[in-house]
Amino acid sequence: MYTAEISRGNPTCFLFLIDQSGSMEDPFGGDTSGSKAEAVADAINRLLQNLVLRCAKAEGIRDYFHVGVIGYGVKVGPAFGGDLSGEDLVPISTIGDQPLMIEERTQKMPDGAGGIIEQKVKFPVWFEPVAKGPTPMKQALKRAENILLNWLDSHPDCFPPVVINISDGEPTDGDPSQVADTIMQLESSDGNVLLFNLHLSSSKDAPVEFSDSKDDLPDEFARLLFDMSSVLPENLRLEAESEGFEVTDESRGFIFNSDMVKVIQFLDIGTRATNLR
Amino acid sequence: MKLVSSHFSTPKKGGFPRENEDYFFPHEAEIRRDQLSVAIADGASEGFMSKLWSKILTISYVNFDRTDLDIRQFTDFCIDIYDYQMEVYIQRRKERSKPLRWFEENLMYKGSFSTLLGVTFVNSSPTGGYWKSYSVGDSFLFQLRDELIEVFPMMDSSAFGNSPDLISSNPAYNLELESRVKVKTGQFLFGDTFYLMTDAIAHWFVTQIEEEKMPWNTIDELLEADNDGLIEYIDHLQGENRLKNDDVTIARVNLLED
Repeated sequence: MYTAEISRGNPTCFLFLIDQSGSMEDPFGGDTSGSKAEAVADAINRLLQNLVLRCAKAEGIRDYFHVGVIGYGVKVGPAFGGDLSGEDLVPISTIGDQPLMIEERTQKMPDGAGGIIEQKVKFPVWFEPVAKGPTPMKQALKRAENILLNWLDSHPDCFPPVVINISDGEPTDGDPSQVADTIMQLESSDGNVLLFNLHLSSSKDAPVEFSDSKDDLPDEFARLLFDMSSVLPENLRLEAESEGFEVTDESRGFIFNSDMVKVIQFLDIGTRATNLR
Repeated sequence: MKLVSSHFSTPKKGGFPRENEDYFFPHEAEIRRDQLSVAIADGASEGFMSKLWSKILTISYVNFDRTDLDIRQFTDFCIDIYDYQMEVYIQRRKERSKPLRWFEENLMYKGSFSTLLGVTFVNSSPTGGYWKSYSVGDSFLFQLRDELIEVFPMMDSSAFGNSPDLISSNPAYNLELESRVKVKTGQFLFGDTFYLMTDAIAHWFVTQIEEEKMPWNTIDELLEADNDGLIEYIDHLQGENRLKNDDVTIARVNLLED
């Protein structure tokens, strides 16, 4: 299981559910330099860029992945802007071709002779920060379920889709556990859909990463998201281990209150399907 | 000394020939010389122009034709060629009013990556001579004299992974290059056969040997027939999950007395 080749003939999909509620305006983990909404938008844009780069060749971008970003706040729906707005799942080549805008950023890189140089790189933006309204997580998961049902119907042998839910608060539309369970029961011939959760917080509680137990989690909501998270399959567990995380056979795809570097690592590990052909 | 070679290369299933990032050089079927080199390389799929890079590495290795290769000097030379080729490519795109897109620019900064295995044969006695091979990554060399007498760089099917050592066109990724290079020297007699292979088919070859089979007989038969026979056989192995879906390149080199 979780070994299916990902190819243009047999692509997989990644679906990101992004909390866009009012509390996402708060600073991230006590850091006053930016809001959680800004940090998440930055992380998602960075991740989309990496996904495009993994599929890009000189002749163009190969459609190994289809990607959806669903926002939930004032409304529940696709969160891409510009020409992609309103799209549930978009082939990665279309994402690569149609960013909302392209910023130029400076990146520090080794120069190959022991020094560091500053290199200007293009930073495309597809997704802008939004922080307004309640937290309709259950509706967002329901929307994800429908998208995944359609996807699996037309891609029955794909590498199982990965859903990553990013939230900082309590759902305001009821208990989402049952919908989450239904999503985790969906399957392709290569395994069940993987649902991972990333719990951002403004609290000072100690971070919990890829834990196999909810005992150390400080509140009911964190424990709820833990229960709604899939156990990491072996290949992702090895990826997490190689990144320096402590994992066991029962580690869940869940992190609580980690810093932004860990958040980016988590997103990268969760989408690091290596069997690209 | 006479070197007689044949080679076969096919892209991964579902891919196009132009997407095949493996490269073997030289392409002449017969070469007469007392010292000569051959090389094989497997361009990494997650790179910008890995095919160009694997081509530059192999052709340069053959042209260097040295048994005392300075890998740093060699790589720097290849990077100069790569950088020049990239400049030409970018200029052509501009002239065609198709400048690089954002993802091409970002990938270009990162560079291209490839394995490399090269071997130089030196005729040093009336009955044969010696060979010296340099390798980075998981491309393979097998030497046969009726039976298998040498495998380089390793002989364990469990050691094949998804993250082989690679040479990069970006110097920033070559800081530990020297520690990634494996070197091996051996003797050959006229009549010996050498096979050079990229990782997927090499993995199958090693597995067959571990099962006490003689896969070189199958390869020889298929190399004697047309390309379609080999492509069909590779499809068959992939269908049975005995061969990873990857670019496949096999080269057979016979060393004969001239």
